Amino acid sequence: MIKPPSIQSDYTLVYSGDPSLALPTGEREREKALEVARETGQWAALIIDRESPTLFHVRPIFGRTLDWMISEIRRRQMSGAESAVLALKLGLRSVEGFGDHRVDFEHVEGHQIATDKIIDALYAIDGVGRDIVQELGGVVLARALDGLRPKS
Amino acid sequence: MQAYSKPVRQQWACGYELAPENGLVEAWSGLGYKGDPPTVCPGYTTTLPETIEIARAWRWWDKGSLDSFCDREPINPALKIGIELFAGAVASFERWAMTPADKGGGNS
Repeated sequence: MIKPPSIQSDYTLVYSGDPSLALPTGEREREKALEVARETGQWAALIIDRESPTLFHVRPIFGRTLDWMISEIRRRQMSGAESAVLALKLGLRSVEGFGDHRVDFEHVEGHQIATDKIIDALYAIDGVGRDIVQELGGVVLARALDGLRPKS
Repeated sequence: MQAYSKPVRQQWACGYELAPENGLVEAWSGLGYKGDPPTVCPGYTTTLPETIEIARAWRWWDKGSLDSFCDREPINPALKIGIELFAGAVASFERWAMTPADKGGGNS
């Protein structure tokens, strides 16, 4: 089940290149459709009939975990790509519709974090693995760093 | 509910629509709102899941039960900021609603 965007609770991300999505062909139209789906959580109109996209359920990162993530990025002088991976590992709760893959966790300095197993499985997807991790991780990271994202 | 055409929705900065080619949009605002002009139709922004989440959280916060709303989990500071902004907007609207119409309010 797709969980709508949330400040406090888990929410669902869908990769923009998921083959279950039927997006408009024009670039502006495509970006707008994705923007609306991400903001409203209404993906149904973009999903091909009788298909299901892979759902990535994630939690918002804030408080002690956010401080730790920022410190880790600085301590390890992480690149943008590495930062996105760390954010995804910290945010990811579960994956739905990705074969038999599941998310395992470990605890690092008191923070629950997904193990590399799921990240490696995503990276192993031919041609788009890196895109998936970077897009989803980028969203989790931006939401964590931006706090409220006013749209008025 | 009346269905408006796509060009009209674009002109009113509907969040579901692309901005029109000419870039000329004017989002509706009213009910005593005096802030910066909205850039997106309030019909869109006020029904976004996170806006609704803040409005719901505000009800619980108003009763001193925000902890319960958050299932006694740590509270995201962004939620608190959202509640503060929302509470300010509610107070502002109530002031306007109580002010006589001849003094610029909404009480006629």
